[in-house]
Parts: sequence; C-alpha cells; structure tokens
Amino acid sequence: MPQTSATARTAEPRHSTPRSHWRLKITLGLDATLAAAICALEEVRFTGLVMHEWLGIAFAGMAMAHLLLSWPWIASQSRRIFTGRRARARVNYLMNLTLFAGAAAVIWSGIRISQKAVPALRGTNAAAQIDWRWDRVHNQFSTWMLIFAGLHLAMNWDWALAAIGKLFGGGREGGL
Amino acid sequence: MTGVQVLLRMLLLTLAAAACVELTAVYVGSMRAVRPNPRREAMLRVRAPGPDIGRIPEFIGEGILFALVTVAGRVVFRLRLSAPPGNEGKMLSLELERRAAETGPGGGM
Repeated sequence: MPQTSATARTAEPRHSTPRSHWRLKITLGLDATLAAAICALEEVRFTGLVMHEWLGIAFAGMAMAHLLLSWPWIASQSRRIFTGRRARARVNYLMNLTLFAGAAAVIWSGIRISQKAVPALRGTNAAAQIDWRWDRVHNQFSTWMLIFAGLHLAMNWDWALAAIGKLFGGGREGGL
Repeated sequence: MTGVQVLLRMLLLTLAAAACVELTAVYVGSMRAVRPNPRREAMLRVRAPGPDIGRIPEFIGEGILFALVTVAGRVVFRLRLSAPPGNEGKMLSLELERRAAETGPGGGM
C-alpha cells in the first residue's frame, strides 16, 4: 500500500499543506478499504454472490486509483530496477509486480465466471456457461493475492504507521 | 497532473493488465478441461445472492490470516532486507592501548 517512493516521501514538506493532508487521508482510506475488500472478497458466503461480484468490480477501480496515486513510486522504481543495488527495492518491486499480475488474473477470471454483475452490465439476464478452468484459476489466484497483499502491507508497514500517526496525531511523521 | 496524464497512465496500466491477462489465458488454455465439481457448481448456482451476516466469523478469519501474513512478512523483511548498520564489517576497537597510555601503568584501578 505504498503511495510514494522513499525519495518522494522524504521530499514531502515537513509541515504539509491541507492539500497533501487530504491526499494522504484519501490514500490511507483507500488502502484500508482495499485491505478490507480483499478479506471480504475471499469469503463469498459472507458477502453473497451479488455483492461479491459488484465488490470485485469496485475493487478493480480502487486498485486502479491506488496505482495512480502510487505513480511516482512506480515510475522511479521502474527506471531504477536494473541499476539499483538495494535488495529491498528489487524484492518490493517484484512483489508488487506479482501482486499486480495476480490481481489482473483474479479480476479477469472473475469477469469470465460472473453470474450476476457482468450479465447485468451487458443487459442480459442469462449468465454465460461457466468455464470451470477460469473458476479454478479464480480460486487459486485469489488465495495468492491475499498472501501477496499481506506481504505488500508488511513491506510498507512503516509508511502506514507514519501515515496513521500523521493523520491521527500520534507522531512518527518522519517516515512520510 | 493533467487529465491527459491520468488517462495516459490508466492506458499504460490497462495495457500491462491486458498482458498479464493474456499470460493467464495461455495458462488456462494449457489446462485440461476441468469437470465441474458438483458441490462447487451447486454452490455457485444456488448460492444465496444476499449477504449472510452469520458468516462474520469467516470474514474475521480472513482478516486474521491477512494480519498473520503481514506480521510474518514484517519479521522476514526486517531480518533479511533491512539495511545493515553503518559499522557492519568494521573492526570493533576497544582502544585499550590509548586508554593504557592515558592512565599510565596500573592506572584507573
């Protein structure tokens, strides 16, 4: 759930403007929602099929917003990935790439087996015949996605703590 | 950041996602036909369309699993990927000779 690169983080002014405060608030709120959504999407019996499918579509949009907010990090790390020496940065980049690929696969396979939301968007009531191979891929990859999302949070734990501290007044602003 | 920049970035992300989807499609194409699991099929077809609040423990369980993975990842990344301290690999000097010279023979005791 990182939003900015280490350089961009440190480049942020110590006394943030209201605009950057709002951006941080939105970013952190979006990240928390994404984490909760991943847990909810894993348990279809809890959400029900209809909400599961709509939440999955909303998740795709939220993930896109998350990536757009993280663009400075993506751009800088993509340029540096082959030249940088820090193992942490390389591992983080590869892990994020895997998470991205997994999320794309889970979202697309979910669209392929959708029984309610996609037919409703197409304006048809009849759901398409399920290709069970996509169903298997959806289940396999979604478990891996939960794991990689947890690792993603672990990698950016300091940022998350610093952001919470900054927004809720607990200190630890130095990490941002 | 202009609207055009945002659209361009969205296009790039969509292209990257499409490439990943294409690779997944290749993987799916290589799979043997999967016979529908009757239990799973029944679950998908007959699955209650609305949310079931009684399933909150399962949702919390997923949250706990997520938290456990995060904690485990945190421990591993801290141990394996944290930058080494500045003095790593350097000899530790106790400066005994300098101290002895300063205090003289038998000094300091």
